[in-house]
Amino acid sequence: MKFFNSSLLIIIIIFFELFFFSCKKPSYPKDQLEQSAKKILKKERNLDCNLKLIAETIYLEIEIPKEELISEEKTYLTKAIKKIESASLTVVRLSLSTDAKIDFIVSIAKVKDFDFCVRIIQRLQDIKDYLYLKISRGNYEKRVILEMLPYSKLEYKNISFEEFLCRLLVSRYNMMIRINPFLSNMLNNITLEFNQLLEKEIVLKSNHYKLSFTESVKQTIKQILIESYIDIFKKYKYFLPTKIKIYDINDYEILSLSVF
Amino acid sequence: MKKLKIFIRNHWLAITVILVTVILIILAIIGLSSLESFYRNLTLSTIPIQLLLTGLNAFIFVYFYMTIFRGGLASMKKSRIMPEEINVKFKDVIGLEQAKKEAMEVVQLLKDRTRVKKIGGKIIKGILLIGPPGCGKTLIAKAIATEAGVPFLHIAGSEFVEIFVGVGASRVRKLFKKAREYAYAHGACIVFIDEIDVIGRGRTFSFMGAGEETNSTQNQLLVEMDGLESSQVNVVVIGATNSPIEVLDKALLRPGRFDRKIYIGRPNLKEREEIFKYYLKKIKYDPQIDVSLLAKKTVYKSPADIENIIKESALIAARERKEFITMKDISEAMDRIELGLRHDLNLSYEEKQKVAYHEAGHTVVLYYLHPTDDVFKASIISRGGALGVVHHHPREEYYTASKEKFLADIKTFIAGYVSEKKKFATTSSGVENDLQNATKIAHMMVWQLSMSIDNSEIIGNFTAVPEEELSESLKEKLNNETIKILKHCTEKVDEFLSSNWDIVEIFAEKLLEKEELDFDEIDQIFRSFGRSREKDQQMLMQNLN
Repeated sequence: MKFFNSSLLIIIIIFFELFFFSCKKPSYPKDQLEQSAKKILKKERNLDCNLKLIAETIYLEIEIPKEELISEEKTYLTKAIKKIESASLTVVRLSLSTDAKIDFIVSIAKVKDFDFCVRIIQRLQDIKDYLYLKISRGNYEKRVILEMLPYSKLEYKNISFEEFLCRLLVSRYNMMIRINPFLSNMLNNITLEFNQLLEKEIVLKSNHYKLSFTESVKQTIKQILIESYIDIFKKYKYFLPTKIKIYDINDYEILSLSVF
Repeated sequence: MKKLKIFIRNHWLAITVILVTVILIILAIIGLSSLESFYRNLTLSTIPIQLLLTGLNAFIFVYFYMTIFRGGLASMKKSRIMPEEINVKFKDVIGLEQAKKEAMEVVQLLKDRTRVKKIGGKIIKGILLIGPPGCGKTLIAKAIATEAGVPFLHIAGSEFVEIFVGVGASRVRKLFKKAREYAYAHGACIVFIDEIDVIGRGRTFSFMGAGEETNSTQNQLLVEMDGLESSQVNVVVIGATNSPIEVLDKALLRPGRFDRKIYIGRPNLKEREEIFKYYLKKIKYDPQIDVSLLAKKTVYKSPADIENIIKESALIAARERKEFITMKDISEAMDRIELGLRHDLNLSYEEKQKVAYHEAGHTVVLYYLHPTDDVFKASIISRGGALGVVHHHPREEYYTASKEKFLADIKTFIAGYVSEKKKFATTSSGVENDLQNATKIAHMMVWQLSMSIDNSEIIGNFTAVPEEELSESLKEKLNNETIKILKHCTEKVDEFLSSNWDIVEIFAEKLLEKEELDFDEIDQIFRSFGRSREKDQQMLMQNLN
């Protein structure tokens, strides 16, 4: 029996040594990221894609036919959403199992024949925290940036953490407007766009003229932005500039607020 | 090939478990390697906690299984030992030359079993080791197993006994089945049953059904040792017992079962010396320790007693923070073992005096009158329930006891009573034990050994027949003879003490002063008053007898 115990132990140790030794390498090496992405999307969704790695930001771009978005049939829309989700999931899988250093994941779904794209920006650490059950699903969803913008305005650049937080702030305001039709009308359908981050202030741009910004609209926007800012600060414990300035479509300063 | 067959038959469960484990590990590795690296790392990181939880579950399951189920009523603990695990050779057994010689014959037969079988002979079925406790029976059995190089199954007789009838017999069957398997694989197997008298006693046949369990167990043992199946494999049974051989069932002792009976007795002087040297080598000791004196002091002691003395002396030395043990430690150890721990009682001076005169009486009579024993210590320190003690040993081993020796014993016992009476004109309850012992010896002399004081015509061992078959007149005669012996001894002791009362007084005073005296001091005291044992003994023996 002693012989059996010791031989079993030796077999287990050998297997574990072989296993751990062979499991060190990543599934998607850095130099094969693009091929891997194309292979996965082609195999699973029959989709073509483009992948770019800019410093610590990875971009994955797919194309969606316009018919899937303009049809009244619910199934078509579902298809489009599924394609966007696949693209997002694929790029997340690649980012998690690669040896490249990646901080931000950007999934872009371009609509064919239109100057329009949907951009989803996620932070890799937030995804990991969600997978490790450190944050809830609701908390994680609040950390995803969803932007709709003209494709021509798209820039492939490395996203910094501060820029991500500012975009998140803007994205949360915009999502609120889109989800809530009452609020949207109350605020005259004013959406905001992140313009730049200066040393002491965050500069946002609106898609409306100065006249649309009545006093009550300004106060409401201020309230929404302050609440979002505080929530983001609690989540990330990071100090952004506390001053936010909003300019109108003609670059006139509409609103300047101080968060604290 | 045979060994492999038996091995697979006995370990099929372990082999299956190992194979399944290996397959599962391979499948797990294949599964994990097909995962993406992130998810693989995630899974691997949960392994420690999973192992911990699995281990905890297994522990809880095993705990409940062992405590509640325990594998059934007839389960036995694992008792197979391989020869290399025992590793006791004949050279490690000290003394017991005669027993070793016989054991070596058995070993030789086991080793040459093939040749013996060719001739048509049979190896011994059973060996019975008889002797007092602690003399080396188990050691000899181990040595036989090691030297023969065969598996050794060890079990105690009491392990067969259960409240339910049939369980003991079932255990015997299981034991011998295992033994036959090992014998088949290795050529022979030794089964050692310690305290075999538990199941080997004479079978009782009662209409009430008492003793059924032991009977059925013993019957099974008899069948296993010499039944229909038993001749095909070489299973040797070694039994050990402290009881006299007459206690065991005759069917067990007949040739074909326990063929050989080896008596393992207490060691003689030379063997005791060797045993002391052996145990002293295991600890740090003063080289000036006189081993021959120790051997003389430990007459009738078994090797286990000697080991105990050395162990106890090591403890005493350690308690006193010594680097090695000395003769004093060994003496103290012997006192502690023989007499017990001292406990200080607050005796009044009168009580102490009584005890001192009582012990002085014993000492003087023992010193002068006893033909075989020497007094080693006289003490009025209370130990083990006694207020005082005179400790004595035979000078050497005697295998018979003469009438003179018995009379001397009686005189020694009575001396305390007489001494108290002479000094205080009364006696105390302290004489109870002494009178009991004296009466027993006198009774034995008359009833069993025909040693009446005036060599009367009554001859015979009257304890061999039931007492109700003896006539009242015969019993009266025997009792009278017993009383005569006691009276005679009392008179002689009274006479002796009267003529040597000065010595008794001196001795009592010394005891009151020092509380404890050993042989040298006692001898010195007597010599300092112009008396010596050898000179006086001859003279007194002539006068008293």
